[in-house]
Amino acid sequence: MKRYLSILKDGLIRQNPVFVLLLGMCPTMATSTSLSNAIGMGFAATLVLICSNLFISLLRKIIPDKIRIASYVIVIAGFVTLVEMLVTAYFPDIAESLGVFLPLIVVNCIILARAEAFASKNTPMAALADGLSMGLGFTLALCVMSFIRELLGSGALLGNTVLPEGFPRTLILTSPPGGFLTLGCVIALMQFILRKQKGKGAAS
Amino acid sequence: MSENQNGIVSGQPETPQMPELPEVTELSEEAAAAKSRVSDEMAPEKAASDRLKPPDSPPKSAVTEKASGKSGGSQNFIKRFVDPERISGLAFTLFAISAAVALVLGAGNALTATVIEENRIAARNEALSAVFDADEFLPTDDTEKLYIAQKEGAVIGYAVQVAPTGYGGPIEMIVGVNPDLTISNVSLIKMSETPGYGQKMQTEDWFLGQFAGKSLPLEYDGEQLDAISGATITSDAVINGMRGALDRVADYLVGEGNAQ
Repeated sequence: MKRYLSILKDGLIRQNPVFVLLLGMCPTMATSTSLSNAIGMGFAATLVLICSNLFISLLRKIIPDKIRIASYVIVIAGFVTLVEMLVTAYFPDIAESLGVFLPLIVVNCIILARAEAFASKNTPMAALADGLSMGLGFTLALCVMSFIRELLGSGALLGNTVLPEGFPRTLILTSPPGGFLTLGCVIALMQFILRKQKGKGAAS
Repeated sequence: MSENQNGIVSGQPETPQMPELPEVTELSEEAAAAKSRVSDEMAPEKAASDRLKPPDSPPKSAVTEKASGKSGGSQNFIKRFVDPERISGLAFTLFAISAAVALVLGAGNALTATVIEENRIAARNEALSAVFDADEFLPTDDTEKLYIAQKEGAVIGYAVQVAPTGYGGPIEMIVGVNPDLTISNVSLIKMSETPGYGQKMQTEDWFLGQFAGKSLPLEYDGEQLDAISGATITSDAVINGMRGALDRVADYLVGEGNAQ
């Protein structure tokens, strides 16, 4: 149980795929312009990550070393296509706003990285927990980024205008350069807080 | 006895004879199994020692060779075929995984295809009825791009589906055209323009609304029609879509006139 808690903590904070591992930058920049997109993207990627981690862990003794990457890509692409079909069928609004980034989850390096670095070396249960925690970490990162970008960039949250008309909109935040600026600031803040905590821990 | 020792014992490696080659490869089956488990947490040293040896290295000792290469027949053939150390075995594994995934995807497609198609038609019908309050939309020819809107048997207008390319991909719209070749209404099906810039075409109603009642030639002159500032490509795409729709209806009317 302790192990799973530590896996969860790794995914959310210590090894956060976006803020610490800096993986999956492309979908992060592209889909964190609005909070609803971020939630949709986060959950779609989490679903794929859980499924691919679980299956790759189950197949880890069957898949020969030489063709492991090819096998992982097939498994991942299969799940992405499945998720894409399900989202298009039952959540057409999310599918529409995510656009091409939904099928592009295939090339989200978080998923392949977790398959190679974790799922292929661990038991299915641990891989499942890792998929969930990494997926949630990705979702959390997207939500933090999109909250800042949507609020300050277009003065709205979940599509509803919340800032008064007169409040200046920082339009650059809605474009990819603004995404990188936001990312940099969030990473700096996070490292600052983590370090302070570490210092406190060492002192006491 | 570890394999590493084995290799040392054999001393001078004999040159393998040609017919024995398949058996030699078979020998390394165990090594391959261990190798595929390299990423497992267990026995890293053993895996490392296995890795040092190329799979087609000279035989270790005649004794082991005989012991494992004894049985023959079709069972042996299948065993050799799926041996993960051979290219046929690799291909077989990859094929099996692909086939399983394809099967799952086929099932998923069968499950969702009808729903997706229904959604698409529903979205289009919604967009069509937003343009004209008609009883029926009759598609012309096979392209499904031009619909005749009819109410109580009379033609009240034409709806054209256009998809000009904007900044973030195609902008799918339905343009309603009155029989006198003026634009009656526009409805947006799908667009992926930049938030804060091109997306204003969706969020600011005046932009698409200003086209109502206009006819060719359409130009952004700052009086009759205004472009969105900061979104030139989006604005141009939209006006091109309008022009295309008007041309399409004009062509259709001319063609119909010739036919009669």
